[in-house]
Amino acid sequence: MNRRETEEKLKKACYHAAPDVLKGVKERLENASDEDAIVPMNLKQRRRTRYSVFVPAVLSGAAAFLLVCNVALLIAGKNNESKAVRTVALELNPGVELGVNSDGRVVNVKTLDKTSEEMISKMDLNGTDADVAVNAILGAMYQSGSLGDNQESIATVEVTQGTEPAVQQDGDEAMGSGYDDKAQSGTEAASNKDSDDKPVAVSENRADENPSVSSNAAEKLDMSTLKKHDEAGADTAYHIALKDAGISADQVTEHHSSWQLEEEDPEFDDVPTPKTEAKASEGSEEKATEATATPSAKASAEATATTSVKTTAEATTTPSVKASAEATATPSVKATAEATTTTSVKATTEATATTSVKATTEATATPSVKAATKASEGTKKAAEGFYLVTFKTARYTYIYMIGEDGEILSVSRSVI
Amino acid sequence: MLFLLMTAETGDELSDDLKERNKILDKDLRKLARGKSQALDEVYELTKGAVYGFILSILKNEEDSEDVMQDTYLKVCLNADQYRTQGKPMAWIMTIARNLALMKLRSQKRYADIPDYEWDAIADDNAEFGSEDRMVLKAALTNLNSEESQIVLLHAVSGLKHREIAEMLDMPLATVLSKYNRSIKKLQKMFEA
Repeated sequence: MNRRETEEKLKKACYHAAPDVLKGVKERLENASDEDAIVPMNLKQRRRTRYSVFVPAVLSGAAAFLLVCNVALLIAGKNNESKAVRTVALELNPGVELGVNSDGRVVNVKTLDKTSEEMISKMDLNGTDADVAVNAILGAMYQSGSLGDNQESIATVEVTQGTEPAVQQDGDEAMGSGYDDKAQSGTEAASNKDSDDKPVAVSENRADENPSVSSNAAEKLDMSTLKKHDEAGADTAYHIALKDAGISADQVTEHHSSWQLEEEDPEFDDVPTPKTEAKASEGSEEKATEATATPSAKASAEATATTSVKTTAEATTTPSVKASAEATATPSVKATAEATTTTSVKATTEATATTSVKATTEATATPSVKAATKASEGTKKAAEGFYLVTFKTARYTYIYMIGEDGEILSVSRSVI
Repeated sequence: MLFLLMTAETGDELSDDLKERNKILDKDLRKLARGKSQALDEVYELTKGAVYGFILSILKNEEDSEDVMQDTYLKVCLNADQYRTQGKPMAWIMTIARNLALMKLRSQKRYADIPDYEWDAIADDNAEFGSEDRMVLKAALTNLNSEESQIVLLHAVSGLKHREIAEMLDMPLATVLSKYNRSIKKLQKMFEA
């Protein structure tokens, strides 16, 4: 048997063994669909049908479109990140403005004078959190001496664009930690007094007494008018505010003044350790109304501190102010009452509040309990209300809180 | 001289019958591509033995081979428009058959050999399938390993050139040649015995 014969036998056997599947194939063919299509044998020679050309083209176009969209979104996202939606400005000497994006991060820093330029040039604040930046700037100010114990005010400016000024609180906290005593007192004033004024973008709080302003205000102050708590008192308060702001009545486009009863603030009243540690060794009245101390230490220190305050206060306060303070205290505690009242007239809300708490602490620590308590009651009574003066100029909105004794409790200025 | 020797050795010279068969298949596939399903009858008659034998050599199972055979002709009809005339219609059909058989093989258990009852079943279904046919086919599928039997069936029954077989099975031409010659000699001895 040769090779061909073998092959023929094999071929014959296969054809004889093959079953008849043709009928089944035809039946299936009638019901067949395109799903049964298989991959052709030779892909290189595949016929380019209408769909094989069209579908890849459409898919390619879609992929290119998505790529373009992604790139556009990426660019837009980066633009949003670098876009400042708020400006936090620290108006002092030096003055600094921070552009803050929607994530609360600093995107640009603008210095307003040479001092700040020299100071900020050493710091890279871009990309840092706003509160961290504010903290750093305040720390640098403090170290450079731009902010010191004798500094009169801190102005925090925050310009918002259609969103709630969430950064304000953060900025205030940073101020508190960075600028310790004075900034912290300003923070309290802002958080307690300006909490209802959400749109307020500028908070300028006088944490310290400002002898010039206070005395000038006191000269203008008609105590009897103010204490009426009516339109006459509100008008007087308005003029005090104008004087303090350095603005003439002609520049004011709109104003409103009214007597407001101060709402009780449990958080404020429950502060167990007021910032009233007396630093008698330094002998200054500013120190006497700041910092913290335990009640026991404070009691003894306060005795000496109060004396020094009283002396200074009496020298700078008008007789009318002193008289009213004396009227609320018994003769035995007159001196102490004078001191606390005088301090509250010249200083801020915080100063007044701490004085009142200080007096309470004193009551438990010193023998002159009743007298000191009466003095504190007198101070508390004075802090139960205030004149809320609001006026607008072409650029700013001012909000003043003025006590019935004519003291400027808090000042807020916002950019319109 | 060497070229002529190689050509004769590899058997790449197609007989007139095979050339004629390929021409007919080319025409039939074009007809199928145009939707003329009557051409399937002729395609089936010309290729059924080669397709079935090749599938059986892979699957070693009569029932599965029948299913895959049916699938193969169905695919041939549905994809006839994708066939490009290159004078190799049989290679195209056998590639479809092989792919489907391998898919079937992956989806189920493998059979080492075809049992007797399946040979009986084949004989029962086909009156033409005699004892000699059974002996010949059984010898080819059981005494040769899977690669050898595939090579023998693709060349001897399907009429594919050794080069085409080497390409299809992804094997060197020399391997295909040596396996084929060794397998044919083995079968010759068995048939003579």
